[in-house]
Amino acid sequence: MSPRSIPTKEFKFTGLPGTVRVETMADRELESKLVALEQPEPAAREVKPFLVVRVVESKIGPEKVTARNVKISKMAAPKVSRLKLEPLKSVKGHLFKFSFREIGTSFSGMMDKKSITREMLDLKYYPYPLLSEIISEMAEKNQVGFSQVKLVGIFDPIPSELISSIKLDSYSGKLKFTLSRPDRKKKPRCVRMAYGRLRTDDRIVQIVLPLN
Amino acid sequence: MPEYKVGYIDTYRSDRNVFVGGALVTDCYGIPLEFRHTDPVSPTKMEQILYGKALDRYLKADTMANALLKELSAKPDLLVVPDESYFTLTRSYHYPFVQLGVVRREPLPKPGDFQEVSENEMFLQVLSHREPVRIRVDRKNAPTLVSVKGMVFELGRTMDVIEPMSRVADALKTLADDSGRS
Repeated sequence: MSPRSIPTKEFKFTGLPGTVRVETMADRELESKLVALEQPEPAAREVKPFLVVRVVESKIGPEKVTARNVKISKMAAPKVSRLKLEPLKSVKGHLFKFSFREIGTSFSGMMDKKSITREMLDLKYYPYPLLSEIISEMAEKNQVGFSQVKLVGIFDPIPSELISSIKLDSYSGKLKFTLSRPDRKKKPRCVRMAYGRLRTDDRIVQIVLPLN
Repeated sequence: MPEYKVGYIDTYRSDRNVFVGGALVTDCYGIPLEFRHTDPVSPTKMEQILYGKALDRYLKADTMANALLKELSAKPDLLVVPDESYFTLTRSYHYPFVQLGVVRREPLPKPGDFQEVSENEMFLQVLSHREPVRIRVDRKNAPTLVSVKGMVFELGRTMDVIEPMSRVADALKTLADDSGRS
């Protein structure tokens, strides 16, 4: 029977502080039994005799070893022979040729067909009054209200007089164009270009701004 | 305004370890005047082992760039390079080598303003309402920084001085991919 806590009943009396612990008669009998179980019983005792010790006499003694004389004959002198050495042959060296010591170059006209790209200006550096002025100008030019214009982007510097083809990619925020060769006598003017989209018909509109 | 010629040089290394170098010279509007590229080069395993970490720099600057710049008929007034490994060639050519980039910071008050970062580096405000341009030259050529600044400012009024580098990179990628297929 394992020891366990003595069950107690707790009663709460009204008018008195805290709780009162009450022990029943059955609890006291249980407690006495538990106390009796906890006391250890005396261990059992038994006396057993040890094994008898006897003296052991060895009957078999050490045997005598016989000695014999062994004749040792003189060793024959080792034979020495001369080793013929051949002269070392010259070692052949190989020069490792690097494949890129001499690299050829070619002229290519592929750049003539490639369009020039301009990325959108970061508008966080553009003062709002200037942006508002740009949108107003777009709206006035296209005879729509201010709120009907959505600014797409501003790009610079662009030599507008040399442009032969121009394409706006509003998703990537890039303006791509190709230029024709300038006339040496005439110096083309470079400008800043602003693009917007009309909410009425989704049309792309542009205006030209001075560079500074 | 003097009509400057600007050179751009770069090297592309494909996934298949094919190197191609290219040099583009444009006028002050970014219109190409000359474009030269090297033959595709595929270093062997032995060459990669023998050169080790020096392979990249040796191919880019010492071999390909030298071959391209010697063959260019339109000599540039300024050469824009992608990184400082090309600066070792500055002694061999009579035009400045410069590293250009965009600085992600507030614009300087007005166009023409500059901020010195060190003896060989500065930020230059080329146009209004946009980020300044970083200009960096070889430390040994620090005295050329002032003249380079003037050139970059003039060029920046008529072209995007950094944009042609992306054209060179695209062209080299196409060349390397085409050589890998053939």
